[in-house]
Amino acid sequence: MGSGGLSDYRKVEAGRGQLNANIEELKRINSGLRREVESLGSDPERVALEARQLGYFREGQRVVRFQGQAPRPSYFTLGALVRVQVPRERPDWIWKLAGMAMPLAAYAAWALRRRLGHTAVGVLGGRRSGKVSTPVGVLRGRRSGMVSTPVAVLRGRSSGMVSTPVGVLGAAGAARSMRIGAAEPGLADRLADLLAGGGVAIMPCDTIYGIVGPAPGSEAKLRELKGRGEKSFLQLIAGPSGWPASAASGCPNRCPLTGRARSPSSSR
Amino acid sequence: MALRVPADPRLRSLLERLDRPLYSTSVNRSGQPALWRVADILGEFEAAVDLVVDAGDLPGRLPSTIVDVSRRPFRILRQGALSIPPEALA
Repeated sequence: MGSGGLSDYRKVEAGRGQLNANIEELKRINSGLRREVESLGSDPERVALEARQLGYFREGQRVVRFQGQAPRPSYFTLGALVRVQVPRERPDWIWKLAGMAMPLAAYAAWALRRRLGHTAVGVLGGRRSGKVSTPVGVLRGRRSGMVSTPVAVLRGRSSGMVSTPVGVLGAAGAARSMRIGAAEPGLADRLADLLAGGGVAIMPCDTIYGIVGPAPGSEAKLRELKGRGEKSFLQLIAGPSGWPASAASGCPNRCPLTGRARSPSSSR
Repeated sequence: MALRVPADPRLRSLLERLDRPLYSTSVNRSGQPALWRVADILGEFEAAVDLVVDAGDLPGRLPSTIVDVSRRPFRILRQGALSIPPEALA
């Protein structure tokens, strides 16, 4: 494409072939002329012929002229010189522009598709939770290899999926979790309901994120999640009052390990 | 048995409301480092748990310190966020 492209190269190649043929022709003509020069210099008969043509005659010769059409003067045609077609400068900017625009267009199409995919899953998330604020997180979960979860299957079926019955989603979604922002209103109610019902959740636990589940009851589930053996789990308690009075009574107001005073709420 | 009274008032009020303890364990497969990026947590565990409370990424946090207080001297089972002066362990 453009100047200096493949088609131009072919044209130049063709021109080169023609020029080579031209050179051969010129060589042939050249050798003919050389032979003529030689014969003019050495052959008396030839000299006489030429002289006669120019109107010189030997003594005793008579000239008989026939009037008629004069022979055409012949010229050597020094080969049919070819005109090499120099490729025209065609505007390159079209191709350059196309070369730049095509990847951009491809990227735009890809991004658009991705975006549409997000939106579709966002609608799903919204249906189930009544909150549309978490589509990206949901999608992330889906994309990272949990192919066996129901929503991933739905997503694979079609990217529009507005027509998917909500009932099916609700039923299928029982096995999957939802992300909820730490500042969402109603989070406490939801967590309490879920944990009271034996569910497990991931939430920030003072320091790092933790997987929490009701004690007792969720050990097996947590062990399965973690792939953990017999080691027991840390238990979070509201305060010493949540434990037998015998355990609580011995609890000083100052932490025996650090010497720090307990905050009023934690010493209840 | 390891116990903790959480410092987070919301977590404590949740525990009061439930009126039972909660097991708590770091977000990781056994033997792997604890996950702190929400994206990683969702990728690994979202399908396995019922709810993920997203408080953003929590980088550079340590797990809680666990001390064996069942006999003296106390022993640190896991050194975490809280550092305990050695003399307090005696």
